[in-house]
This record gives sequence, structure tokens and C-alpha cells, in this order.
Amino acid sequence: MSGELPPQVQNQLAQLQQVQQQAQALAQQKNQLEIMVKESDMALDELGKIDADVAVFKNIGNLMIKAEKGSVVEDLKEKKETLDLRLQTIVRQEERIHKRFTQLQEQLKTSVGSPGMHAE
Amino acid sequence: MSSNQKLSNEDIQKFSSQFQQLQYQADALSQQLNMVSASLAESEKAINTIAGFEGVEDGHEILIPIGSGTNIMAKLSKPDTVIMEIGAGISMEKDLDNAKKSLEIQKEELTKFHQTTQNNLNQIVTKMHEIESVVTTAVKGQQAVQVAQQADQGPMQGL
Repeated sequence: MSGELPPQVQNQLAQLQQVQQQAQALAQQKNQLEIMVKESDMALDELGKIDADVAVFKNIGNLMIKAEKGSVVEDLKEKKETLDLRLQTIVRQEERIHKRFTQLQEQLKTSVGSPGMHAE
Repeated sequence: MSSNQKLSNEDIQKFSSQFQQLQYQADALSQQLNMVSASLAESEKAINTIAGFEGVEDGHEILIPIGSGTNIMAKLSKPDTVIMEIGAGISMEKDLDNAKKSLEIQKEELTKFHQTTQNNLNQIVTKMHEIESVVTTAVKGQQAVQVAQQADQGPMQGL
């Protein structure tokens, strides 16, 4: 079917598909980051409820190593800051991709609706 | 959706892509349901294990499975506590009561989620059946019309 389309439209369609794939990949990354942020929040919340002498363990590969509550909280806060920053970047990228997608969609509509398309 | 109407090729294509999309959603929800069921079973198992540890004292002998029905012997230390994962790769010590409460809350949330997911899946399956019924009825109707037309044309051709 695409063989009958003018090269310009074919090119626009390919670009649109590429942008759609990028948007899907970004949405997946965003989803994963949001889960990680939520997990960190939950862990920080739990750690906030306990005394400093309660045993806390950190996962290191397949092992769990005992750690100080204070240092674990610090590590988690730092990790969360990094995750938040990455999330902000992804959100900005997503906005750009969505704009590009709408732009390409409009261009494609114009191309498909142009008289040249129906001339054949 | 009326099942008596005649369907154009465009309608059939529309229904087909709608059906496919619903199928993808149904598959994803089924996978989710399986995962939630597995987590529920795991929570239940942990709750039962904790219940079994109540009253057990320091130094009690236990067997730790190492696979293929084989175990190694070990002695318990601090059997009145467990180490529970709290997310983000962090675990913490909890006494048996607190651990049991956390697991029961987790189980309750999972059960609710399971119910919601199951309802969503049922709705999708109902929609799929509706589409199937509309398309099948329309196709049968069109086939019947074609057969009737052929029967009408038959004697004419013979003349």
C-alpha cells in the first residue's frame, strides 16, 4: 500500500512511526522511574517510623548487608534526588516528542489532503 | 451496537482493529492477574510461616531447603523477629506481630487490586463478545442474502 504513496508522505509516515516508538520508550522509562521514586518514598516513610537502633539491611547483589539507619536514609534521599532529576528530564523530553508528533501529524494530514495526492 | 445492520468493509476493519486492541488489553490484564495471584500466594505463605514461628525459642533447630528436596540443618537466632523488604533494596527488622500486620495489609491491597483487575478484564471480555456477535450476525446475514440472490438468479439463467 505504501508503494502507492508519494515519497514525501512515505518519509513523513516513517518519521511519525519513529517518533511514536521514541514516545513509547520514554513512557516506559518514565513508568519505571516513577515506580522507583514511589518505592524510595515508601522505604523512607517506613524508616521514618522506626528507632535508630532497629536493624536495617541494604541489598548488595544477592546479599543483604547490615547498615546504619541514618546512612541508609541519607543514601535513599540522595538516590531519590537523582531519580527526581531524571524524571524531570524524561518529562521534558516527552513534551518535546509529543509536540514533534503533533507537528508531523499535521504535516501528514496536509500532505494527504493536498490535491496532488488525488491527482492520480 | 445493532446486530441487524449491514456491515461495510470499513466497519469490519474497524471492528477487527478494535477487537485486536481489546485482545492486547485482555492479555496484559491476564498477565497482571497471574502476577497478583502469585504475590497473594507468597503473602499468605509468609503469614503462615510467621504464625508457625510464634513461641519458637532461640537456638531451635530448623531445616533450610537447598533444592531437590534437600535441606541443611541450622539453628535459629532471634526467632521473634523477621527481616522484611520495605522497597528500594532496603530491608528492616520487624517483630512477628508487626511483620504479620504489614503482610496482612499487603494482602488486603493485593486482593482489592485483583478484584479491580478481574472486573476490568470481565468488561473487556464482554465487549469482545459483543463485537464477535455483531460481526458474526452481520456476516451470516450477508451470506444468507448472497445465497438467496444466487437462488433467484439460478432459474433465470436456465431460461
